[in-house]
Amino acid sequence: MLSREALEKILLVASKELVDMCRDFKALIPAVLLAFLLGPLVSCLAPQLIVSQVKEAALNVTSVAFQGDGGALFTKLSSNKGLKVVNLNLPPGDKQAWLSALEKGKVDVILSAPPNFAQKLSEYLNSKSTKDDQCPNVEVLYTGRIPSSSYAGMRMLSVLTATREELLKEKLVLHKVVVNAPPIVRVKVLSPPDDSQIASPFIARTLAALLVFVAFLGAIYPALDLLTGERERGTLESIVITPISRRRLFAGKVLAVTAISYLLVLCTLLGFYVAQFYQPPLLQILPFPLHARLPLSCALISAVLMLPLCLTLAVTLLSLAGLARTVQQAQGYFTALMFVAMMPLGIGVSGDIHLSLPLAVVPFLGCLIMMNDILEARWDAFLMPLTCLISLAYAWLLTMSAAPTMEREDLMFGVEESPERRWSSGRFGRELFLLCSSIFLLMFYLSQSMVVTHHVWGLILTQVFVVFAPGFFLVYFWLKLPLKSVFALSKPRGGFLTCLSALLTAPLTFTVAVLLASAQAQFLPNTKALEKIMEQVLGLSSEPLWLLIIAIALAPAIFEELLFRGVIYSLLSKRLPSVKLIVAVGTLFGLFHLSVMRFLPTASLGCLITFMRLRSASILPCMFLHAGHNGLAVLLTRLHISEPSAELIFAAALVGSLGFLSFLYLTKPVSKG
Amino acid sequence: MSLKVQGVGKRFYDKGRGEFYGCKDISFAVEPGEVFGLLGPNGAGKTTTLRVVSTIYAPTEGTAFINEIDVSKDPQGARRHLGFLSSTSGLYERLTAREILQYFGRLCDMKEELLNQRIDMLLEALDFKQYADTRVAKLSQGTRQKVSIARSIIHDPLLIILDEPSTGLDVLAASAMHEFVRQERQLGKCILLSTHTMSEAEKLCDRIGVISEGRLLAVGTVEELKELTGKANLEEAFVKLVRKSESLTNAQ
Repeated sequence: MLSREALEKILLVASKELVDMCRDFKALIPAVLLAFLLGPLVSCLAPQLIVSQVKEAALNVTSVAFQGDGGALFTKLSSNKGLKVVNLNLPPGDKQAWLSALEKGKVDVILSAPPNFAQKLSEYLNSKSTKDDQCPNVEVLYTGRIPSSSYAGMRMLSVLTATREELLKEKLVLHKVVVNAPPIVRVKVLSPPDDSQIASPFIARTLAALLVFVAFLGAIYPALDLLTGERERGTLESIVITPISRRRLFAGKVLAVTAISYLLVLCTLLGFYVAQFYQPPLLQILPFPLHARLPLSCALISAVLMLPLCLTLAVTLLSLAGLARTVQQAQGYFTALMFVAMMPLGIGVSGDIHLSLPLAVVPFLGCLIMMNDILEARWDAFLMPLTCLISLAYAWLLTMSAAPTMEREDLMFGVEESPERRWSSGRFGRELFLLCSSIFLLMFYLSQSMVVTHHVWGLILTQVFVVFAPGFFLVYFWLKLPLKSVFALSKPRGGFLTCLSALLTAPLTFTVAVLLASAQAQFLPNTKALEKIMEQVLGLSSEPLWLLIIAIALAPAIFEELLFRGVIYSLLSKRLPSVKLIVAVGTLFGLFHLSVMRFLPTASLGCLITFMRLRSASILPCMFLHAGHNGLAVLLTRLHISEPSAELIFAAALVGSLGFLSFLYLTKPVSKG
Repeated sequence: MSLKVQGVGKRFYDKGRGEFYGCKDISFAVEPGEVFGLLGPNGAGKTTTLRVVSTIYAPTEGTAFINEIDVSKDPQGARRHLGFLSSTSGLYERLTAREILQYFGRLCDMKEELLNQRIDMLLEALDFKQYADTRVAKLSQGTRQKVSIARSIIHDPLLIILDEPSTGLDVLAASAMHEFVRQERQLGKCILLSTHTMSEAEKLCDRIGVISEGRLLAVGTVEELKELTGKANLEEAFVKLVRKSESLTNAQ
């Protein structure tokens, strides 16, 4: 818990920052005004514009020219009050001249009747046939370059449909054809739902996204100014030599940014709440949903529940700003964040997804879906407080890890430590945190959508762009570490036979993974359904085997090993003793698979492969074992062996054990004596 | 309160130059009631040394002790006893001078009553009382420098570190600042300042350390430095020491 002294310090920093920000009238007043006006703009002005456009289009008289002989159809259309027939006095056969008249705006739309149209129509109307294909067609010519012509074209289509129905009706009457209509179903509404306490669909669909947008906008400027701005102006330098703890200082800034962002959110909510009373009555009775109903209870609950979202955004933006040396650099980071945030924003505001346990524990996304649910009057007494608690935990964790970046010498003064010195000291905690969180975020948002859209190719793309690229970027461009040492692609201890022995270990690891999965199935939900969905999404049964081997066995063996036993192992190896290192890398490997059901088998495998990396001093045996393990999974799925026989399990365990023992023998440490 | 700097070195890295020293093997001590000046040309390593002592930079080699507190092991503890005026630090433009002093005083855990007394005393001593409630954005360069000085010593630290304190001050303001340094010395404070102005060093410092290319070339009183170099005044002594160091480096 926070001590009183700590709380006082946090509030001291927050109040100073707020006073500082509030005096920046030039930035604050337009932001507050914009936030407040958003409601009236979205609820009243925009729908009013749409309605007036529709009204104008409906009331305008369309000028139409008839090309050719349209017979009864043209006679009928001439009496339509919405149409004004214009005589262009052009030869009917000169199509170019008619089109030119249309382009010059002499007429909105041209109805062109092909030769013999009048005769064919007359025959159709006088026959008893009701078949559509015997009815001749006219051409509707309009140009999309002129708005009035474009409207007229669309309107003409509906006028033609109506006229055609009229003609058909006359024909049916003329020929005394009786059409048996289906019986009319009467629906009696017994208890109409009381929706006065629910936000209207229009508000439910737009408000959550707009509030997040405003919260984001509201947090950007303060986050830039209070951290990177202070760094640029040199005020941060004077603060970091005071005895205040970095975490309290950072927390105070988070509080100030949250407050500004929240203020704008409240202004937006107030704007929407007030605007509903000034919405023109016409908009409330239209069949399409433009009614901006936002009940007070709904607005108040939204106001309370936006607080964790503002906090999440504030702490994320400040953490990013803390990593930038200049405001310009921070703006670049924020742009990247905006792209990443698009994904959860899209998911959150789609309205088809509701709060569930896996979503509630994802910061930001959980809050977003919770907001949507609230606006649709969906409640969950367990998940909603959980989402708020997760946001608080996320804010706390990020504060703890991001606070020390405020005093980083390289960011404050642009000085650098040589890569060799950095490498030998092994101080990479912050970079590792950033790498892991970016990969987890990318895995969650980007990789899943890539797999859904590109199936097996999505897996390969994930391996290259989500798994390998961030780690490579970090060590090569940012930390400038020696790639040879990081990736350790050298000959392993014991020679290349070690790689073979690692590959032979795969049946054992696969058997253990199967046994672990079946053991945990006693406690956790059955994974069969999930496996089936994955199989369908990836098209495991339809894709060629070579592609599956590349996507599921080889690509992960190369890229995941370069990340886990290469980058992450190297960043941790100087700081952690062997056992802790094996457990840490293995656990991260398990977490990376983003599945509670798969955690235990993958983390155990991760620990074993890390042990191999440590013992063989090379990444190659790790790649061989990983490829073998995943390759077996692909083959068994392809051969439809879902439950292997006891003999098969025994044989696999025997071969694998022999492989592992030979690995241990080959990599036996050489005694110094 | 005393300051001991022991073999402090700070290495930096630059793509073009590779690894290089900002300051190397710097050792000196400052006793209570003493003003120690670091005198050197631009880029000599004065600011780097002061930043290491004031816990902003972690030393690559050696360390400094502020009253037995190791700055590299317990920077938080060391910060309670030092006040640092940096040549690159800025002020909050939208706050008034008084608000800035109050904020920094509170960050340093000062009691309200004591803080207000200290603010009044500093406003008088540095002669900017009339601007106390004016926003910093509207202050002149000289007054801003005074606010910066007051801000760095608001918590009455026993070790005062001033990095080129008279930068931007006119003659009157510089004189007020010098007077203030002398008063603090009389109160037994340990004062470490950097300057490249000979007259300031001569007027204020009890002892001077001449620094060039990151190395401390000589330490002593003005008289001792003149005697060491056989020159008649500090400026000539300084030039001789720096030239000698440069020629040695070039020869290497």
